[in-house]
Amino acid sequence: MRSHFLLLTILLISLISALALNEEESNNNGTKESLLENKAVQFVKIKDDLNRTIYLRGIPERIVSLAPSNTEMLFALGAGDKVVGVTSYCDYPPEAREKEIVGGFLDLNLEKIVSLNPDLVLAFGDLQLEYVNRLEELGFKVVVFNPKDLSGIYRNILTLGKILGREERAVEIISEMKGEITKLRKKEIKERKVLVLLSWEPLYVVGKGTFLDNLLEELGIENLAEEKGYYVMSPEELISIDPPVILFLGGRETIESPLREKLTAFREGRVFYLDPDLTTRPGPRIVLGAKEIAKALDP
Amino acid sequence: MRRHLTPRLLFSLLCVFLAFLIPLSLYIGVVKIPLRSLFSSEIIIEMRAPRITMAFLVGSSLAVAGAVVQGVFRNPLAEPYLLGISSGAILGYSLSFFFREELAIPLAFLFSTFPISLIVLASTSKEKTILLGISISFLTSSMASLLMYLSGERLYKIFLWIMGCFHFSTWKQVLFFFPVCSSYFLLVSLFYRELNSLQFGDEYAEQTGVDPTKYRKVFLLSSSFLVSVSVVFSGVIGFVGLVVPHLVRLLTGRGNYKYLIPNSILLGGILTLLADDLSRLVLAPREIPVGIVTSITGSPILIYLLWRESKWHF
Repeated sequence: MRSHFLLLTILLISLISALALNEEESNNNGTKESLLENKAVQFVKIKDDLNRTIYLRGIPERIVSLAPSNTEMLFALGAGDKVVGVTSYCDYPPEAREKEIVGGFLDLNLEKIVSLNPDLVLAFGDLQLEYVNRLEELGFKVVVFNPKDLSGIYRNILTLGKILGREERAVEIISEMKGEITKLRKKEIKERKVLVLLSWEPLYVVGKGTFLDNLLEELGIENLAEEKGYYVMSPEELISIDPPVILFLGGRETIESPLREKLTAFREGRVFYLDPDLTTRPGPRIVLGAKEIAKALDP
Repeated sequence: MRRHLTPRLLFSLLCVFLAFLIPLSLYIGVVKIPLRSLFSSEIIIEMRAPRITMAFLVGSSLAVAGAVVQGVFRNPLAEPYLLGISSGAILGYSLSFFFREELAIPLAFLFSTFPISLIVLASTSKEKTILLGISISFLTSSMASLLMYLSGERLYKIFLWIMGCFHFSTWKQVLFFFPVCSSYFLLVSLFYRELNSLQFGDEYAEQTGVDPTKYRKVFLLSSSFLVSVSVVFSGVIGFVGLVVPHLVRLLTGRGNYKYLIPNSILLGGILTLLADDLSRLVLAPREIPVGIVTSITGSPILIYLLWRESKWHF
């Protein structure tokens, strides 16, 4: 029976300490709130891509970005000096590499983010939801961007401009981007049918309804992948489609695929390896990605 | 020559070790916190403290559930996930991506407890329970694999969840999990005699006045419930449930549940806490999923103990 008693005591002690610590937490939050309310600051009201209305007090001065595209938007808007944390994938502009790294894209380090004490965390997509929830529980402001198409990118840039008090610059960037895209669409592109691949084995293709599919559409190019989302295509289907042009976005992969001889695109030398950083990041540089695509189709 | 610790000595040693391990675990991390603000820092109180508490509690739950399941099935290879708790949870979790993502946790819980409860309640013998459990486990895990295959970019997220982590532990989770696991510990501690009888077989149990079928159901249902809750909070953490009971038996040379349970609570918790510390340290600021660390660090310990045991016994 003695071991039971010991066991119970330990359990009890840990329960009490847990409760005590919990008490402390609520106290902490209380003081933080009142401190913030004492300052007379302006509110900015925005809507993020989770369709939440968010009120921000004043212009954020310490921003943590959780995606390369967010980082690029921040720097494009001239707010690079306000960025205090980025992901390990944020490599553009080069200054971004000098910032503190808070983890990868899906393996973020919460402690690191909290220690940077950001007044705004700029998250991305619906795969970071757990981090978003946890950070908000801890009292941080989180705005989530999740652009599904070009207009989504424009909307994000505008929202960020509003947050940073740089709406004019945002409008400028957007109209530049729109102008470039219109120019590219009007270009005489000979081949307007492509298949976009992310890997050879398996044949991971970019399907309908994706961000890249929308980009092709905006450029007046037809995506030959029929199904929705990113999916694995069977080699038989690839051969039966026999796309005149293949755009490969998985970096420089040189694979001796047995499919080679059977595909027109290979025989005619019309398989293009594009820079994935330019073509897959839904940020301001997507225009450069669009240029690469147009160049590949019109050599 | 036998070199075993008495259960009480092991228990005290583990207590002392834990007393050192807790402040150490609070201290280490990617962010350096000065010692004087160890108990005022938000990172410690809001993040590390709930995290190490959950790591300890989940680890001890898995270890005790493992010890119980091994005794109930009289099988040293039995572990808490044997009857498909983990694959059911993964199925539910993956399924949520095709409906509503907010349902991930409820679905994971539903799919891990429901089949098990049916199996345990419906089957009449130990063998049937195992076979049914394994069949259901194969069914749910293959369905989960199908969903994972179809889930595209979410695959990585599911994969991370499966390997287990205490990254998102909160005090709320602790406040929920603590009563669940401590009442389970109380239950199995109070019925340690019945567990002792069961591990010597049904006939022996009946002779000692223990209804094997009834107690098996009680033990399996409660263990499954506890393990499902732990999976929902921190993913699938392998190895602890299988190996910690063996470690305790090897260290003490005894299989008496009176001593096995408290020692498994401590050793399971300590091992998982250590694994979590390592997972935070080794590749910082990246974290290694704790399920991987438990296996990498635990296997050599078990191998060493088995080797030592055979050297002195054969």
